[in-house]
Amino acid sequence: MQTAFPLAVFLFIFCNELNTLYYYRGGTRYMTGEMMPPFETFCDVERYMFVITVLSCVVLAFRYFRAHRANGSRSDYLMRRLPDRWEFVRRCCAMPCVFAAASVVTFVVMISIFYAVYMLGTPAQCLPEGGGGGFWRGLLCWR
Amino acid sequence: MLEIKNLGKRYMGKKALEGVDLTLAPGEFVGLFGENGAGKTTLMKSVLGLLAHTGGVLLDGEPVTHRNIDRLSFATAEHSFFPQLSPQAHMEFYAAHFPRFSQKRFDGLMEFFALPRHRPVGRFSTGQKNQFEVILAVSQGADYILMDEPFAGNDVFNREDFYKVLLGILEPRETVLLSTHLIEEVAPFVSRAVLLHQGRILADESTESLEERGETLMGFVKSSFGYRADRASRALGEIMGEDERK
Repeated sequence: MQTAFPLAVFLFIFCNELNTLYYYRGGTRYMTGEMMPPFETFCDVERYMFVITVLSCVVLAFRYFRAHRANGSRSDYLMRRLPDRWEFVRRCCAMPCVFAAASVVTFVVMISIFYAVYMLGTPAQCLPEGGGGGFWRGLLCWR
Repeated sequence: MLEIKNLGKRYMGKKALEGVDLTLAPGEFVGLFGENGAGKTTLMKSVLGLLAHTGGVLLDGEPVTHRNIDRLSFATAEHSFFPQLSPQAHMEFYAAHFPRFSQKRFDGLMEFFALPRHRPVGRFSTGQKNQFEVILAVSQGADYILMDEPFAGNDVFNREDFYKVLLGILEPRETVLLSTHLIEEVAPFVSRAVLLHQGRILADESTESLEERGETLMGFVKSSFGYRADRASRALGEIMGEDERK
């Protein structure tokens, strides 16, 4: 959810924007003088997928909690009576936290890949000012 | 000593318990009786901290917290085991989390009830599930064993034998609070009867004092609740009378 689809969308948008930087006449490629949009504008889909994934982890923790009340038994009565008061929380939140952490790592890796493609694929003269800062803006969800 | 002081509970503004004061001493076998909706289950869940409530619950003078919660165990008709786990897995879980879990008692009761150890509890019959729920509560190593209608759906032979086994294995420090509608069945075993009516304690008597007065437990419960013996015949008379008029 956080990799293939956002990557496909990024490449599609990036290639479209890349095409606007050039025109062809008589088999020769010329620059149009257009500038590539700032990097952070390419990160929306990845950002949304990251938020959806993290919210899904919250839902998952809630599902684990509800599972203790399912299947004709109230095992939450037992979990809430344990001397180790954090055991119930650990059981409900451990895997969602692992998934959320993996989601954060995936988000950083994907933004890094996008940024590498953006910087390597865009001609230097078409990069916006402060292009390096675009990575942090893309990562920290700041336009 | 388990002390319940001025316990109150409301559900959406409706009173379920009010001003409940009750003290359970070590070694007592207390029957908790009351009509449906009297507040028996609410009382037990409040004592265990499973429901928010007003008033206080003290265990040897200390509030019930995670530090002393293992001194209370609970067998509920709703069941509190993990349906997907086997009794063997439950035993390992209890042994890991309850320091005073009794392996010997668990094994003995599993054998008494002849329950399979390696089948998921969710696949047991209703009666077997009830039995396993009680086994866990009794084996936990608690000082106060709260049982909320634990044998609803079990046959009478299993129930009677279980009461005898339970009395035999209980140690002097262990107290049982048993909520049940089967008054005559538990009468030989309980040492004290607490009657709950509309969220309040109606009566609290030891069976010894009832015996001295020549009163049976059932008689005591009926008189306390104002039960009218002619209630059924009057209702029948009204129904049959109406049919005859038609």
